Amino acid sequence: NAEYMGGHTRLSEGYSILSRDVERIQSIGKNCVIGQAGFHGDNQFLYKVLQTRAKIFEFDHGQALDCHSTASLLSNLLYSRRFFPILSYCLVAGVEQDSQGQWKGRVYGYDVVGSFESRPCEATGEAGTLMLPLLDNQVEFKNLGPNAERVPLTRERAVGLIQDVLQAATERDIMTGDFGQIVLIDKDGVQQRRIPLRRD
Amino acid sequence: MDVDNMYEGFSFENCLRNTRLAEKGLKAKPYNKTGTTIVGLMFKDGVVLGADTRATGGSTVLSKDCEKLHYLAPNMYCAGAGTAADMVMVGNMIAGQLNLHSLNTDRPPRVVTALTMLSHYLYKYQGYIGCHLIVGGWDITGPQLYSIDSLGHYNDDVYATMGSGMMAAKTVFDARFKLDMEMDDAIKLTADAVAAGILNDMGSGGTVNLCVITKDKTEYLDHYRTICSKGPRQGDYTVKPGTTSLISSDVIQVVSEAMET
Repeated sequence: NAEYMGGHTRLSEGYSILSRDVERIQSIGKNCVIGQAGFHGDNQFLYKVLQTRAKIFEFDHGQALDCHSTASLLSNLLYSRRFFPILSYCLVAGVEQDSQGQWKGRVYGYDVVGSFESRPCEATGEAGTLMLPLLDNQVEFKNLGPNAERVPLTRERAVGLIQDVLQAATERDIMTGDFGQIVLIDKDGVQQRRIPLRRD
Repeated sequence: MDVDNMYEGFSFENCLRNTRLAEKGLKAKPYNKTGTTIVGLMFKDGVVLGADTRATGGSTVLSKDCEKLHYLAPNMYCAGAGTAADMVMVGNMIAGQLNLHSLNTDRPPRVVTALTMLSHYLYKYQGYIGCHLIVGGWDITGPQLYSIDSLGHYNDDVYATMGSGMMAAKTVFDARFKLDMEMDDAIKLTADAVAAGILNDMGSGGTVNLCVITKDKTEYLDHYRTICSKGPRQGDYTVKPGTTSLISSDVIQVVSEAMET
């Protein structure tokens, strides 16, 4: 009934660091966030467009976009530029109410042209491939034998997991580091926290 | 394999094949380069060489603790940036040749000897051996510091920086260097320069390794300063027994025969 998203705050070009303080995870609406990796210019552009479209929807329909609708909108936005893609590797995460009124968390992963899928966990960006195996094991309990202990993912464990995963990515990827931005989304809204990461 | 020429120098057998593969679209894997910040500083009584400890292949960190200060002689070290394999091989080769030369001449080796050997060797290979070096030491003519690039060009300097972090380190030296510094100040300044490279250049990272060479001794200060460390681990990811399921097991007796000499 909650979602976590983690990202790092380093902006780089070649071997240089342009900024140590770029927030990659931003909110769309009350219960949804978008995290973006890839080309920073396109990320900013895409976020503006998505935010504007979300506002227009709210004015037209009198209610905010919910999470899966935001995800679908993003997919259409990306596909509209199929032949000159927006170089943005997005993740949309949020909570929404299902037909029984239960709040459920969802994560949607994208490619640059808008193909998306809802998954229990997802990682993207330069170090995505470094983080994904650990997430697969701890969130989806992959590669464990049938008798292995499956420790349920509580909120505390989830925050710890994201922190560890970001630290692990920072150790082995030169482009990741400086600060980690961890965002919690639940029915009450979005909370953010920052953790320090290695600066080298 | 060309057996007759196996022990002499480089083998170029695969060059044609590699060019044809590249034309067909096969990209070679990136070499293990050392990204790197290396620095050298001359002070009143000797030289200090400094280096970071990160080796990268593309944008992945391949080693967090690699050694970039290579031993050449008891009174001489070289700091190396560039392709890691080239650095190690060239370092070992020159160290061996210096040792032989020193035995032949019955004198401790001079830094200019190492410099000439390196310069000629690198020029011969026209830059294809990717070594960018800072050679420093103390010999009979006093403290010496030289920087050599992969094409064989060298400069004598009172301070030098090489590698992808050279600009970051150079700013620290340009601002604070003074001639004839004391050893403690020199060590601190060198460590600060490497730290600047580590923090501001993404190809450099890890800890600062220093080597201080004076008339009386050569001191290798391993892990002199740690710039960043990994944060505390939050969760417990130890794999408990029973995680991998045992499907079947088989015990085979291995009979070994004792050898009689």
